[in-house]
Amino acid sequence: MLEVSKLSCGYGDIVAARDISFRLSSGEVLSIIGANGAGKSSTLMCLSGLVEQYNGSIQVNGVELAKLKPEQRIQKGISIVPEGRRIFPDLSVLENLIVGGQIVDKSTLHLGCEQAFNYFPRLRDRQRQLAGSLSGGEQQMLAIGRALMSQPKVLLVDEMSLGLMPKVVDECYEVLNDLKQKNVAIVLVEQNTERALNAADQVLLIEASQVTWQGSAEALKQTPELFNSLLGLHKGN
Amino acid sequence: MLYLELFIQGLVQGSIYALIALGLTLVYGLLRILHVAHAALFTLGGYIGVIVTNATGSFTLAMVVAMLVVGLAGMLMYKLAYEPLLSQPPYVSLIASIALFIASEEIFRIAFGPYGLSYQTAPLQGHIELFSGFYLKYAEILVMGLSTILMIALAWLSMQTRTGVAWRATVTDPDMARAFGVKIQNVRYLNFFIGSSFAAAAGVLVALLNNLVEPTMGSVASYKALAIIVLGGLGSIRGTLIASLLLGVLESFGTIYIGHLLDRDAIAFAFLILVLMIRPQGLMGGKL
Repeated sequence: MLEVSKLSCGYGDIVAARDISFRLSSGEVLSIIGANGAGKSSTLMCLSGLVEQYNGSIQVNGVELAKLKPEQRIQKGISIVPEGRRIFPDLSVLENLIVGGQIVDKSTLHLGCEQAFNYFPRLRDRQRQLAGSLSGGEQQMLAIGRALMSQPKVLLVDEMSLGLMPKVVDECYEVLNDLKQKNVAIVLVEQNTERALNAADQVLLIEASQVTWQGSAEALKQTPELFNSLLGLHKGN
Repeated sequence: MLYLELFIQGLVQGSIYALIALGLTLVYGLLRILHVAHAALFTLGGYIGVIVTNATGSFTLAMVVAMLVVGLAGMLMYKLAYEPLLSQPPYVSLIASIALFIASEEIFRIAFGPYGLSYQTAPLQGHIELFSGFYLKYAEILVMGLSTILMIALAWLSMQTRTGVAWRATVTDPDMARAFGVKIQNVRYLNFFIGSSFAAAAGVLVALLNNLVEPTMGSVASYKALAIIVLGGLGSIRGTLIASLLLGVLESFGTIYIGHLLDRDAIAFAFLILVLMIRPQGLMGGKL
């Protein structure tokens, strides 16, 4: 499904992440964890084409994405829930979903809207409301709904729980769990290490722009020293 | 009766301002470029309108041809002059735009002569009596009618179509729009096409009202349109429409009541200064 090999990326001369490699199958969740500024979000943005890729390879179902622009990558099945939600505040909820479904035909667009409203019924009630007037939790729901409009095979989710009430976070994770059952591969960047580890099949630990540990979530749990220190990292944040 | 007449005249002038300033607002909203050369497209529209009408006898055809050709010229202007400068600071594009505008005036002078062109038989010069003693020229009715139709068409495009929604999303956050598959290059072309074709329509209408098109007719349009988009709140379409109509009406009344103190353009700028002293962000702009 998603195969990343020796990926390096950054902003001009500033390297944000180097030599990142992993393989992710359909229905698997990869959690990328690490301290602030480690390069997690940049890696995610690079996968969607929004941060410059220096070298390495990104493949979805064997198709190389490295040279594709962001608007072409989504057609290969990659979609993103960005950090800070980045919804379009001057557009209505429905219009935000329409932008998310830019690449699909009209009937799929309707199905996508229905899917988003079924996942998050609150959005249905507020579909004519300006997105900028939604609460933080509703905006996060909209950001997830928007990302699902293109029927992605790979979903990139950045800092989903940041600043949200636990109940809303639970609701968002339930949706991710359902997507996992529907064979969507998910790459999750999350400050809340406990949540990230609970959701993960695979874990990638990034420190100072480099991978310092990677493996299955089960393997991590059987490495108590590291596991506990990561949870400590979360508490420290 | 005089008030009504002045008000209608103000709306006619305001409609022209709106058509010109809207293109400027669209470009500023999307690219943060002050597109001074927009006024050259306005003049080009005027010339095409007169030339095609004189050649074919059809004013409708002239309007359509002017809007299409100038729309394409606007896209070309973006491709050749602005796109290569997008990564540069905004003042670089501004300098390029001013240079384009000055050059275009000279090109018009060389191509069509310094004295301007007129319609051989100016169309729509008759008038109707709306009610006792109140006359309105057909040309003035066309200005208001066509402006209204074009504004409604733009509103429909931006609010009711997927292309329009993508366009508005791109204005807000181009990177995110790209991430969801919006081809922002196409959005930029569309933006320039629509803004430029509206300017062309304004050029044709001004040529119709004055029965004259001349190389420097864009000068007043350029600084007046800049004043309007600042007055409305940079990048705000609604603000631009309100400011255009307001300024048209204000100028219309002002030339009668304070015309002995300030000329038409001075009234516009005095009003601009006054508004900016009270609302530095313009009538509909966000907080600074």
